[in-house]
Amino acid sequence: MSVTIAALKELMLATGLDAELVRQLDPARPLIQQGVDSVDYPGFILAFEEAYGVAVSDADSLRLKTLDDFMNFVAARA
Amino acid sequence: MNSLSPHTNLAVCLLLPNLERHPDKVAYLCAGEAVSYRQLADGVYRCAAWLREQGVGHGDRVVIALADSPVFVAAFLASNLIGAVPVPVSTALANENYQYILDDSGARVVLVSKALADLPAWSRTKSMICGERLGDFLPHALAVPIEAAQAGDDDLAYMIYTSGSTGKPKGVPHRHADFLFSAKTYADQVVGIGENDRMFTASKMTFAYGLGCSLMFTMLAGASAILNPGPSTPEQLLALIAQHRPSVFFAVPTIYVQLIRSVSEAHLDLPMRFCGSAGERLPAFVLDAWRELTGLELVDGIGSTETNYVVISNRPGAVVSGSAGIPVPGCDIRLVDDSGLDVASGVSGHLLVRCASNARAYWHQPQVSAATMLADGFIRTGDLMREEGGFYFHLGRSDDMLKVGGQYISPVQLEDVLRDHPAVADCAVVACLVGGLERPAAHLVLKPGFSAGAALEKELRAHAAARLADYMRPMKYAFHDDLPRNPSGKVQRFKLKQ
Repeated sequence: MSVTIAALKELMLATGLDAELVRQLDPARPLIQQGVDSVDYPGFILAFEEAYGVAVSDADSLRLKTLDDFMNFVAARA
Repeated sequence: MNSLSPHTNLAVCLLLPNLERHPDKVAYLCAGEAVSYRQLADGVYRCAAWLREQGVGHGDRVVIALADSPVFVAAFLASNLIGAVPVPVSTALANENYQYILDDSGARVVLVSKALADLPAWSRTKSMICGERLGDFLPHALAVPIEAAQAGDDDLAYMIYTSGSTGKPKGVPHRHADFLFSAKTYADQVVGIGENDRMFTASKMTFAYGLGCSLMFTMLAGASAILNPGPSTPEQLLALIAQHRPSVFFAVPTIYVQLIRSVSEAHLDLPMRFCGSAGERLPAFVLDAWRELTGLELVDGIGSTETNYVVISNRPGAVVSGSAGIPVPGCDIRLVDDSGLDVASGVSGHLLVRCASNARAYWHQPQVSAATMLADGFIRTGDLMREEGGFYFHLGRSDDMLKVGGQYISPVQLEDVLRDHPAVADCAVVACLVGGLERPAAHLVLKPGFSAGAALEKELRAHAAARLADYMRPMKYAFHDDLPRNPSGKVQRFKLKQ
């Protein structure tokens, strides 16, 4: 399965993240640096797992820092 | 000269040695202001005079709804000094929570952050709106040293509210000597806080964890501390660490996870000699990732507002990954089964703690107190643990409470909010693990005519976000035809956790 940055942003919107925050996200920068907080982050990881049928291990959850990381995570399992 | 005495008053124990030893040493660094111990004492005297003018006296409660700042410290110590009982409360509560705490504590006076000035909760209680700079705090009051109130063994020194199982917070009062015990045992003997340390704590002083590190342990050691009146975002914390170079840093595991995720580089160079963790279970992989990123040890421990502070802790230089550590000196630890009998090593049991800093009762809650503060001096913490080789491992909660980001959440509170949504017929909230940390998960039964799906889930998220503090928002929504119940009709939350 392939994934795009646009699809990941759509997923973020579905979990209730602020539309303007999502629109401005730089895929290469850590999400935490861009205003995605400790509540938004785990919600997005759960939605990501469900949408793409992947399991994010505890250790992986600390390595997935940017939208690019999430995209590459799916690509590596395709 | 000052007139501080007797030495049993907590404010005296904290201030007097520093005024005698190094009055001009910087006690606090906060938002561009450096406050010496002498300046802090002047602020305490000014506030004590003001409190007395308001008629505040021995045993009266003084609610402190202030951001972390030297003004918070001065207000806390001034209350102690005149024998009153400071009640620190978070600046992130809703109006009804402030109203409840003011009513329940019977507060005589409340000191309010400017950011909260417009809330209606303060209208029925004498209040003072405060900024964060000590230099601007009560500038016209006289900083005249005053005689400290006598503090007997049973006199209360402070009270912190913690979430109750019914959703209403419970007051946990502590006596003047309680933090002296925690400082002597945990801060001194376990982690070795000393005069040369510069402390920095992500947890606010309205929590026992932050109050201990930023106020009690800092002053009892004659050290200095960095205070952050703003939110504990990774960006802000790292900026303050770079600016002020603390030697010791304390935070809950959720903050360490945020810090790790915020850094792009493979290595983060930090000035601390060690980092402390408590407030929620620290997963081993977080400890490992922090060590890999920073080269620093995470010294984890466990305690509660009721025990006052950490009662089981790892030791710097001897951390066992995944374990909360070994008992803090002076703390008796038992793990018992459902009938109260001690369990064998390796078997999970309910954590009971007896130490000199234990609260003796909740504020005006005799039934809950009797169930928690046992007659033999032990406190039932509600934690499930296992002991192996002398080390204790946290396994979760033995009740329905959730511990998220170091804060307790009653599922009842979240369920009440979710039931207010027109689509929800029934619901139960339990903990789920995301990235190794507990987060709320909502299990819902819908009313006829409503269907589960992304649109409804988004609507429910917005409904919860508008009514709950951020850390309480459910991460996960699961839809069921019915909820599992026992024969008497009570929801079996443990089945939903599976």
